[in-house]
Amino acid sequence: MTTVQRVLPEVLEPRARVERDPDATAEFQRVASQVSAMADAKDPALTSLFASRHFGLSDADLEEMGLPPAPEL
Amino acid sequence: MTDRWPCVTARCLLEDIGEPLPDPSSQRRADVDHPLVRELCRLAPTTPQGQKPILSLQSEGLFAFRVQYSQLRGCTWHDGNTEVVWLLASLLRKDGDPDDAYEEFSKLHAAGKLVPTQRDEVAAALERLFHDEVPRLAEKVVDAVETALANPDSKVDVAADALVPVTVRVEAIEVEDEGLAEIVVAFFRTNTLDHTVALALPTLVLDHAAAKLGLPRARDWEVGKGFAEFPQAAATYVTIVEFGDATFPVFGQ
Repeated sequence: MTTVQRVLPEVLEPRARVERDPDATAEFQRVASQVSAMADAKDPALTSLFASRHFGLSDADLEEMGLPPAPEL
Repeated sequence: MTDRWPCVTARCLLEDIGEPLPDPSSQRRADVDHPLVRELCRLAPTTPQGQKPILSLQSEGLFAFRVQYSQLRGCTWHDGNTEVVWLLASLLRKDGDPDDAYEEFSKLHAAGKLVPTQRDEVAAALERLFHDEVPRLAEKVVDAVETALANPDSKVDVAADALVPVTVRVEAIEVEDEGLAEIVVAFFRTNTLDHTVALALPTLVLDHAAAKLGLPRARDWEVGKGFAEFPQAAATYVTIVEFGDATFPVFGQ
């Protein structure tokens, strides 16, 4: 498979079935860039993100687990 | 969540086995090279079948079972709520000595140091998320995208029995006369997620799937402003591919 466009060209927008949300796209792409970079680097900050934001652990808990503070994305 | 997950308490790993705590997203505690941890992994699917109870702990209300290798003795405990099978301790058998493994197990339990802590439970949940649930959901998304591309009328739903529950619907939509297809991956969430986690989770799933399918990475996908056919979707992600020289059947071609 060949990837053609990263962003739907304006000329195709009228024929696209899914309307794009530029603001939401910008925010997602900003967060996704950081998340992917952390995953690629096996950065434990990614673990801290989920441990803190989803499982409610404090920075002290994270430190006890040998993890860095949760990053602000 | 049905499969049992083997894990080791932090106290056991640090104090008994002498290994540092790994980052749960990179390595499972059960991947540590240690004879009793290997036994834990072997026994976890069927525990406590074939294991003897540790009566001194069971009399205290902890239904722990023996695991052994040479002079090493350990105790396992199956948490039926989370389906995690824990290795709680690994110590030496010194029959008759006050620091015999079974004596120490009782002392640790009396001191409240034997059972998993909340941090242990989160570590096991994180391991499961990164090593099992995200890859498994991503594989389902890969299959769904391939099916959707091969069958343009199909709408493939993927249910994830995950700690972070999501349902994914995948569609491939031909952009008429341009030889292009929009691949739509719409995430339905059954609970309220933290906003950043709600963006990070699809990132991990899309990156896994994209690597298998040769699609752009998550950071290059666009976000849809609703999707008329799936108005209940919490988030809709879209990318564009050319299907003229696709490596798998597309739209029946």
